[in-house]
Amino acid sequence: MIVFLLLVAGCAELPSASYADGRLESSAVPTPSAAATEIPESDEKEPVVNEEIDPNALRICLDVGQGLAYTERDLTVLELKIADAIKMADGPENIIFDSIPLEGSEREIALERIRTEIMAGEGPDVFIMTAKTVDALFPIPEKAMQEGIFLTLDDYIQNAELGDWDNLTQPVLEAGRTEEGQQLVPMLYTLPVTVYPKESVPEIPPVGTTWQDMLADESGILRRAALMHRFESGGLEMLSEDSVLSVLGELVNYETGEILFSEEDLLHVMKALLTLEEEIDTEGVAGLPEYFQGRLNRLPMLTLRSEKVLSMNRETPVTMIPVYSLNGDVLATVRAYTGINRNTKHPKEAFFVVDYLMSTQAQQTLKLFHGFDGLPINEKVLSEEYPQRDGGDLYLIDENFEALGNIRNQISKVYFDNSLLRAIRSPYYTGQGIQSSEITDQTLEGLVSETYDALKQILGE
Amino acid sequence: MRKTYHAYLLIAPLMVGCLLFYIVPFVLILRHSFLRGSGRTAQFLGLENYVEVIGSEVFALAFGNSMKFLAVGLPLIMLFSYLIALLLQHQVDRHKLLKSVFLFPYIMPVVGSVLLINLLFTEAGLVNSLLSVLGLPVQQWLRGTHAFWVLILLYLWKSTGYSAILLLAGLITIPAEQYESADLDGASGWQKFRYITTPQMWYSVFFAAIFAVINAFKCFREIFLIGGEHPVDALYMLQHFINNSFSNLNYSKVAVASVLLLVVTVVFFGVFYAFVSRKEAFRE
Repeated sequence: MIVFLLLVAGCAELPSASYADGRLESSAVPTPSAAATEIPESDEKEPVVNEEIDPNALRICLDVGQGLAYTERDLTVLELKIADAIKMADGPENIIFDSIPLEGSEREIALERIRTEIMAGEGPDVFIMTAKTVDALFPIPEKAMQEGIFLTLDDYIQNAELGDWDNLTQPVLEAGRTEEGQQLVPMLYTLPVTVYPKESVPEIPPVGTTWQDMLADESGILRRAALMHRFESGGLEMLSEDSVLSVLGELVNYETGEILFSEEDLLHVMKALLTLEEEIDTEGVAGLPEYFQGRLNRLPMLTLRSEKVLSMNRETPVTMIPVYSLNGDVLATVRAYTGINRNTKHPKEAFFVVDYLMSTQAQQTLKLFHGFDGLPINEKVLSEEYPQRDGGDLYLIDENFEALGNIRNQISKVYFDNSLLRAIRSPYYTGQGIQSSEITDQTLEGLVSETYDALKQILGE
Repeated sequence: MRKTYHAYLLIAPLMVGCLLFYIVPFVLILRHSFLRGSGRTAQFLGLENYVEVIGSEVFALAFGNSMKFLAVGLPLIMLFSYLIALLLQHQVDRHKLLKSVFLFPYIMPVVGSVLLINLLFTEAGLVNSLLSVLGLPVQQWLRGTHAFWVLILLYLWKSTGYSAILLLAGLITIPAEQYESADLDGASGWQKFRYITTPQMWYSVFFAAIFAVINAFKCFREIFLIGGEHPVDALYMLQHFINNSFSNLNYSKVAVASVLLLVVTVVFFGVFYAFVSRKEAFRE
């Protein structure tokens, strides 16, 4: 008995991740805030906090990143607007928000608290999450789906009243599905694209185009689109690391726990991308039509009334070219999603929220859909008929909306942005350092080997 | 009868604490290990989780590394701490400060230990500087297989003193008269160790070994700070697997790994305890 107790005591010393980071000091537990029926008069108002949690209230866990909320006050305003919109749609009135603080030790504590609650069969009823790659409640949403954390929504979707479920981008929606059925519902997604004026590049390449085809393009137009490269104009630093994911295309099978590319594949792609980047740096862009590169969201589609990218503006018809994978896939990444706790005591009310979020109206008006990096899953939105409303109408002209449809139709692989994807793409920058000899104590082969080992660990946990 | 009643009353707070904080959570973990999901919607899977975890390459890596760490570290720490304790056995009253000095590494904050490791073993650390001066090739101590041995070194440095103090506590209970009698009989040092010290030290060794295992698990804090959540394969321990699985909300894996770890350690110490009990029975 004594031995048993001593051993258990020893194991109890195992630190949590936060402890090991030296951040688990405070015992303060943030309490969920009630969604007041009144929206504060101004942003200056302090967040409303209700110490007594009504067990009958619908508890919504909101985790949004920078972009949607920069301060806790922004978060409170966002909560209130969501609650208000749900009430306006005749949804549940008794709502409590359990938003995860944006940063710091309070965030760590909230994450641990909610994880523990979920483990105990409790926790929030609805999750509205932006896909974070660090410090996320669900570091790998696909794995959380496999663990039976979320309610299967198929029966509810069949009887949905508000959501425009038939007009959601199907390959993206499928990313939230397991063998059991629909577990999570993606809200926003992105994919890397290069935008050319249509007069220079009339058509998107056909389905089946591969990355090798892009590299072999003699005009240089597809070759240039084969890599998301630094682009200083417009104040954006383009994410060349996204290209690693797009070129690999098939990344992982969460159901079988397999990585779908080999260490050699990763090394090959890294080398090829780094070489291409060097070549592009040397060649420059002379002789190419003007272009814009970035994640497919509103900006590269020139929806902002005041935004102008190079000489292109909203009225300029454009062609959008994705990065094709080695196998010809077009990869999209889910950037925000929603789901329902399988142990919820209010499944109907919870689904009302999810259903509402999938409505055309919600995706047009809620800041959740136009304040964050990503394209709404509802395919009607952003057309001239269904613009997003953010102090003005945001839409694509008909020709460009068709171009958007063309690229949507080519999406063939979709993953949630998660810690595994981050582990695949983030070594790219170290690779740049190795390539440019700024980093001398590591080789590309060693980097890729370490990355691959880490991927196996992440996937196996 | 009244005496028994008093005894139960006295141990009641401890037993209630044990029940609430150790036994009940362990039973819950055991229950979780057979389930998928949690709460009222959890599904009973039988041994499926065990089959999955035991067949997992990553678990095998973590479990293998942890067992290797114990298999290498435990004998070494017991050997060194026993040697130190024996050296101190007859000096205890003369060098009281020495006992405190041995505990300094043990009480050093985790961050201090990690800084020391970095100071010594990073690319530009003191060890590599020394190797350069000697004209020897520098090594990547915190990457690859070297990292494991650096950690063993850290473990020995941190915990040997603590184990030595525990063993010393056992050694000083052995009556000095027994050694004096042996001296009169002309016994050699080895004979005294074998026939007087060893038979009376089994319980002390047993408890020192338990604490050495506990300290080995505590070393994870340093490993985590040196290697992060996903270190090189050589440093990937069971605690990484358990911690990261919890972060991934993979509760069944957490539960199964915890149960398996406990089973292995309890079996190991059960066998060890049986051995020690048999040895001690001869004394009685």
